[in-house]
Amino acid sequence: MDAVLVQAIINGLLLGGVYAAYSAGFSLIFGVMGVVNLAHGELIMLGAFTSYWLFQFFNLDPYFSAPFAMVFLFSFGYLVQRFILNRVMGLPHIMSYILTFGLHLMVANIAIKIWTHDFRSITTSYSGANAAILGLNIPYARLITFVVALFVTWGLWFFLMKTETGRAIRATAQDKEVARLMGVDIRNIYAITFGLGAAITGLSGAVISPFVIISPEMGLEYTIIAFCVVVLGGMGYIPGALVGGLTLGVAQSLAATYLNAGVSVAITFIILFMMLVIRPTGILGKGNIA
Amino acid sequence: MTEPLLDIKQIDVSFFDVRVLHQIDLKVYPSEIVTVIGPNGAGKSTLLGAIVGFQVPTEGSITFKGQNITGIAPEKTVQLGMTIVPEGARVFTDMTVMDNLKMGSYIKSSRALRSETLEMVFSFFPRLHERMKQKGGTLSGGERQMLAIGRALMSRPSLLLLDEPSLGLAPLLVTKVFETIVQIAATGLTVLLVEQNVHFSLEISQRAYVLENGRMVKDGPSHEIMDNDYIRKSYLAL
Repeated sequence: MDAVLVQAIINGLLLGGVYAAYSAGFSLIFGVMGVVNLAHGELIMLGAFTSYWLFQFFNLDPYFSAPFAMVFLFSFGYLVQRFILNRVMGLPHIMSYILTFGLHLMVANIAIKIWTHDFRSITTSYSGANAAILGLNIPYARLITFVVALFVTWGLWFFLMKTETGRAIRATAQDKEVARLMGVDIRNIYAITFGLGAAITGLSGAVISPFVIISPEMGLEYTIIAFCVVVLGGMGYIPGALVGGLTLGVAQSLAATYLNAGVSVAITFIILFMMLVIRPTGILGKGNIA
Repeated sequence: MTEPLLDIKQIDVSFFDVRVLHQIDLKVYPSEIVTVIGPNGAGKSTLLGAIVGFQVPTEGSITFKGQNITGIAPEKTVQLGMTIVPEGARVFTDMTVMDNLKMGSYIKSSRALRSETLEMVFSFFPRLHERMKQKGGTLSGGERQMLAIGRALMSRPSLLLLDEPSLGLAPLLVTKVFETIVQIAATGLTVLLVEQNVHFSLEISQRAYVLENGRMVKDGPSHEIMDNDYIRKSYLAL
């Protein structure tokens, strides 16, 4: 295989791992509550800003700010679900779309008021540094982020499969009435679920902050990618986020290498469109199409 | 006479403007098997719904262990010691048999007794032990019913409510399910069984209530109900 192709695939995988991490929360929230969270990108934005300010004021490395972003976004997500979204649970889905769209506008605009439209970035000692292995370039920051992203996606899966709360979340996703009969306070489970989804999304925002442009308006683009990744992997199926993320990452990278960068954006939408028409349950067929 | 475990007094239940249950009275004493029989649409499931808290009675009261539980939320009733096997089993199809059972002991009081209760459930249903790692959705209808009963037992209830456990099962399995209910009751558990399978329910229960069009039309010891002319004609086709 030629080096260009291998390099393109590696770039795609590195990108895709990150896509997976920030889409897993989107998938979780949809899977449990049926909420398509249109304010998803704002969670990433808040995570990235958490990392940015910790770097500015305390010179804290973006990777070490990840736990802070997680705690902040968990609290934010928990409160949003508890006091806002819980009011429309059980109503037609359109209500939650409107509400999360409103949330998207509100959070983004408040952020613009506070932080202005400026584009910001974090420059660390390792920014731009590459590991050169067998003639391939692997940027350190992206590699670390990739590893953290995989670990986070696995961690979420582990939490859902192995803990009492995780089991209750899965039960609630499948049959909320029966879950209640088992003693599950589903409104609290909803809040924890949104908190968890927001926490891993915020964490992803923090760990991508070393190599992305941070601005209050960055969110929407990420919401779109998360939506596409989750459709690819199967709505509501968490490991699907990994499959969808890696697929989309590689597809975009190949398109950028062999066609051009503009096409790589179009590819996202072409894939999204084709999936929705041909296989709406996702690549693995385990998605939920309610 | 001992105090009833469950005491329903004169409840009315409505869906929007339509009254589904009219002045229902029902008592269940400790260690009894009580059955509520009646045709489809009589309001049997609604009655259970009102007991566990999915429907709120507009009139009357429900008392459990001497405590007024009228209108209490479903997630609270299980903590007081009553669990329901819902109609159609409703096992968690994407979860393993083991996870379904663990879900049954989600409440703190039963979580502490989990491994011991699991052993008891597996002794009633060895099949569930064999299928421990399988997804709920891969089980047969009979196995799902067993799993739903096992899951309910996992919460260590003092009152077990069963909603049509024989629904949709092959005759051989129906017999098996009723036998199991008798075995479970023999451990001292109190059972309230709602059924369309009148013959078997009257056979295994001590007392019975007959629900028609949202009203209790008859009640009494099961053998008397079984000998009643009206019941023999309308329900047993004898």
